[in-house]
Amino acid sequence: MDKCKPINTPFSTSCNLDQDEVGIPVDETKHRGIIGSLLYLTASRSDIMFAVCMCARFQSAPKESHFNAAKRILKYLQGTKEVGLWYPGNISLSLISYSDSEFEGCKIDRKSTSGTCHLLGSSLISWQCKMHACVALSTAEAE
Amino acid sequence: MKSKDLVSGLPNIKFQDNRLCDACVKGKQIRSSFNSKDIVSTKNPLDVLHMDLFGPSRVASLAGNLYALVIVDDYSRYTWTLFFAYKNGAYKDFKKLGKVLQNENDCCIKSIRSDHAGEFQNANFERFCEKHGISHSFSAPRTPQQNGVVERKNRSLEELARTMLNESKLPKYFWEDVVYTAAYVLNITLIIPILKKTPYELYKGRKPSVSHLRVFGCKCFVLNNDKENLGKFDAKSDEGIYIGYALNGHAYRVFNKRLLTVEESMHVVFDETNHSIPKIVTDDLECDDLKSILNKNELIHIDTTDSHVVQEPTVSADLPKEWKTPRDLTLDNVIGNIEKEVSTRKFLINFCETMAFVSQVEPKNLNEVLKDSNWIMAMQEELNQFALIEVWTLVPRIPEMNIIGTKWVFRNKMDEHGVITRNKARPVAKWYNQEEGIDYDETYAPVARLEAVRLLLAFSCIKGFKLFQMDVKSAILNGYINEEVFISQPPGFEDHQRPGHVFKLKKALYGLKQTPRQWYERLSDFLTSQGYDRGTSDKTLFIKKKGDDTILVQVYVDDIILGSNNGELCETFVEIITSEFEMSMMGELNYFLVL
Repeated sequence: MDKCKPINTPFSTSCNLDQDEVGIPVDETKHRGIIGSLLYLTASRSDIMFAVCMCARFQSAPKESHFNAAKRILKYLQGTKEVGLWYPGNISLSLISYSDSEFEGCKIDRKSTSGTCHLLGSSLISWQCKMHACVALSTAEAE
Repeated sequence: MKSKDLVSGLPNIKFQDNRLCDACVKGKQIRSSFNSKDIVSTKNPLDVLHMDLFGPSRVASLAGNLYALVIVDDYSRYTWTLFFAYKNGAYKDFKKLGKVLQNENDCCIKSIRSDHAGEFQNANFERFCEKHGISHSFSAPRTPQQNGVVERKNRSLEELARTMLNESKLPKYFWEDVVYTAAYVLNITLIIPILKKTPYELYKGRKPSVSHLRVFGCKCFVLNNDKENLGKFDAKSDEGIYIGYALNGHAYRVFNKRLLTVEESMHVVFDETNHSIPKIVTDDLECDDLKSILNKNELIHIDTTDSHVVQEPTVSADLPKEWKTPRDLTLDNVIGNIEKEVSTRKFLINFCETMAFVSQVEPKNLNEVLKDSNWIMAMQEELNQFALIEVWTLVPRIPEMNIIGTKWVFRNKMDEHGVITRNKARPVAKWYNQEEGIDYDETYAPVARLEAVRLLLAFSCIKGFKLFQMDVKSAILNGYINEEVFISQPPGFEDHQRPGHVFKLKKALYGLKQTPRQWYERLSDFLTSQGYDRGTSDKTLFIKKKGDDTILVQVYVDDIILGSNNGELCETFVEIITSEFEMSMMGELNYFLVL
């Protein structure tokens, strides 16, 4: 994978992962190994947070579609090796938080996923991606 | 026919003779002929080595081998024979022999010649040849004639071996010894027709001595020579069958009929009397005996006092008294042990791996470690560190103690580029043996959240703080332990004078459940005593204010980040903390927790 072609996005907009029971099974250990490493990387890379969390949901009986999604993240990282967090100096010291949510993103149980991030001035200090615990009935409720 | 006028009506046609007729070739071609050479085409030993493998023999030899590799030096026709149980042993054995030969003669093997068999034509051989600059030529496919030197030698050896086995009426599993002896004898007695010298002289440059040669398969007596604890009136020697000359060293190889093992001994008396008819009969019987016993694979004492072979054993007086019998018979003293070969190879590979990547590998078990000096140094260093800060004291063991086992953990430390810079060995306690209430109480230890670290980074960027990074050496060992905990001595480094003792811990050790907490407690106590305030929501952040200046100290187990708008505050912090703990100052923050 260290000579793979870079790709612009970590996750396909059209791709919606599900259990994929008919897919070809792949090596579980390898798949989990990749996801574990990626989860570690989310400590310093907020851009792959959603994609990694999505992949991490399908760790038992991974199929080829899940493995491909994980590989796509690696391909994305190949193209964005130089990207990192930037902490500029001499700006206002104000804490800003953003959050957003999608609606019924998960194909299996129709739960929504939301993401938050906190900025101090213009430096990103914390981020999160979380699938809701309950099913939202409207976009407003999801948010 | 025309010139002799034998038939009539034949037209007078002239044929052009230098013309190749396709049809004739297709119909009549035969193999090209191979003429024997009457010159020696090489000038020095080891210029060209011919080699070939024969086998598998239907009967495994005593050492469990089935194949024999015959190597003939082109110049001297000196012959080496190597034996192995599997064909893939050829490469390993040849590599070994090749190195020995090059060393012995101080010159290089220039070229080797073999057929296209898989045991010669493979990547390993290619690599070996490439490394030593040996050209490897092959005979043409299906043309053993081109490998004639060694094929002829094979024939000589096999013929000799068959004859010797038949003559001595020995069972077939002695074939390895027979072939080896045949090659040995040929080397010192064969006369190369063109050069009129023996291979031994051509190869070694001195005349061979034949005074020690004996009749193969003859009866002999081998002195016990303090091998066993014999009684005063026990027989001093065992009867045996003479089966050749020691592989390395000056001794005879004898098959001991009583112990059913192959021995190498100098103290042998031979009975080389002509094989009379009764002798052959007895031998036959004995061998049948032998065979049945060997099949059962049991050690049974055979009574070999044959009534009709009454020989006065001659005592040879010139045996050197201080000569020691070579006892390392690992190669041959086990009957039919094929697995031995496999385990040896595995061991060798393992050994090579650990030697080749000295500090690059993280060993899995202690046996691997003890072979690698780098790791042993790392372990010793760690124990010295323990002694320096008085982690433990050695106390005698009492049965009521709950002893917690220890083991070693090995890790390679990497720098920010991922290059291995240090081997680290640590003895750790096996926490799963600990009992709550006795060995530990509270185990929770606060650790800085990554968000908090990032917040600190962002905050210091905005405020223009300069951040420094520090590392506490063996941080965890600094924590005092409140409970009485006993651990066993680390494996491989036991105190030989006091083997039954155990260590009583004074300070926390890696692997105990409470150690991170003990360390955190110690550090936070120290910092609060120095006037630092512990953060209310994040317990790992310590703040000290002095007028307008602030110093922030973030603790992540043993990594400390400190930042201040005033450089002096940092310096005083470094000063006080190095007076309390052994620290390594890493300088300005550039690499933290692989972030």
